[in-house]
Amino acid sequence: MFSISALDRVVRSASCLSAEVGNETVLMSVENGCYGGLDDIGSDIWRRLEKSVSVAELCGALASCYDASRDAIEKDVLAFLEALRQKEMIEVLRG
Amino acid sequence: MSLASIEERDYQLYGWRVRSALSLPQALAWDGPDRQVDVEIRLGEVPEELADSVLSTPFLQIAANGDCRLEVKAAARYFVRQGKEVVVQPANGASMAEISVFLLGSVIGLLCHQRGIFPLHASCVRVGDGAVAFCGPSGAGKSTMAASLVRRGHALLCDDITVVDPFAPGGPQVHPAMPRMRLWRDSLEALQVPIDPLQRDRIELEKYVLPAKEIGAFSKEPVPLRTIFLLRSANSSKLEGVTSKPAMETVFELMRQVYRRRQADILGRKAGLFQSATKIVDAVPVLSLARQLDFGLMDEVEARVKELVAP
Repeated sequence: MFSISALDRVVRSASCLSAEVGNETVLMSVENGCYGGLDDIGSDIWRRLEKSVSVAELCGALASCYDASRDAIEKDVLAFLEALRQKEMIEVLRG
Repeated sequence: MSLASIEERDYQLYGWRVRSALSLPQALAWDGPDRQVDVEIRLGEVPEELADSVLSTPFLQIAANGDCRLEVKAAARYFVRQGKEVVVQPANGASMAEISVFLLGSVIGLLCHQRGIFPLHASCVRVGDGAVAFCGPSGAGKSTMAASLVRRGHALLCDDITVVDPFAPGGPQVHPAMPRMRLWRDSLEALQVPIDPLQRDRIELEKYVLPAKEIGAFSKEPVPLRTIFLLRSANSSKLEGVTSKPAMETVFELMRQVYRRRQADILGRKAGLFQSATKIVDAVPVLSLARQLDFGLMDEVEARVKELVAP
């Protein structure tokens, strides 16, 4: 499978349910039974995936909110998205 | 059992108005407002086989439309439909005690999942103004924990199945079930409740079914849920402690405590249970309680419970 690039668009998968519990977000895929939990930064990214967004746009938006270099953000975001894709919690549309 | 002698009565169970042609002496009579009946239990023929079944075992069939057929050879066949209708066909020679074990257990579980509500495999007690639920696998001590709190002056709400309404205005709420408990002989001895051979369960012979009043009080009113304890047995002779977990683990642990969880999944309740469980975990502390199966620590447990239930 291809690796996710900055040009790709990402969006929450329709089969993935999520709910905020305290300052965590809990995810469950109805399709495959996978589940996961997100901390506050993960929850922030998840909120931004409600509508499809390009990875570049997403990283740009995060760079303006968090005190980290654009490169560091992109690296972390790509790893995060990859983990979500493996659990089929997001869909990746080739850019 | 002759059909002619049947008289319908209304009962209250989990906040529902239940109209039953079978006498349910363990449940309280309906004394609420004259509103629509929620669940109707009647006698009749139960089909041999459900068409279009998505689950088919000798015990349970589930049809694609959610209708369920339960069969217990020594007791009855039960046809459970749309969360509001139960047809019972008693087996030859079955006693009411045998028929009601499954009616007030497995059938309630199916009704809950058909109605889209959240039943926990838990016993629940009112402490002060709040409810505390004890979850855990069979044998973990749910009923025993509840009974010992009732013995100490708190009021029983539910035994074995606790229905939680996660979306009640003001937060998750527990509706009372019925004023009866099923307890192990050991627990009765430890609680110093006299053992009456007539109360012996017809199906699970090591258990006894008795009215709550023989142990203590029953709460007729719904109560806000304040704490959930996940029970597990431990070897140590002391209370191992009450620990909190991250939300994700707690949500999925709670979903594992749903009564007849596999049947819920087959009835398409995965998403609904998730929404309920997250709502509950967001509002109510869920704690894990490891204990040895004895009564040596009830003072400590009761003190912890009172602390947590205090508003």
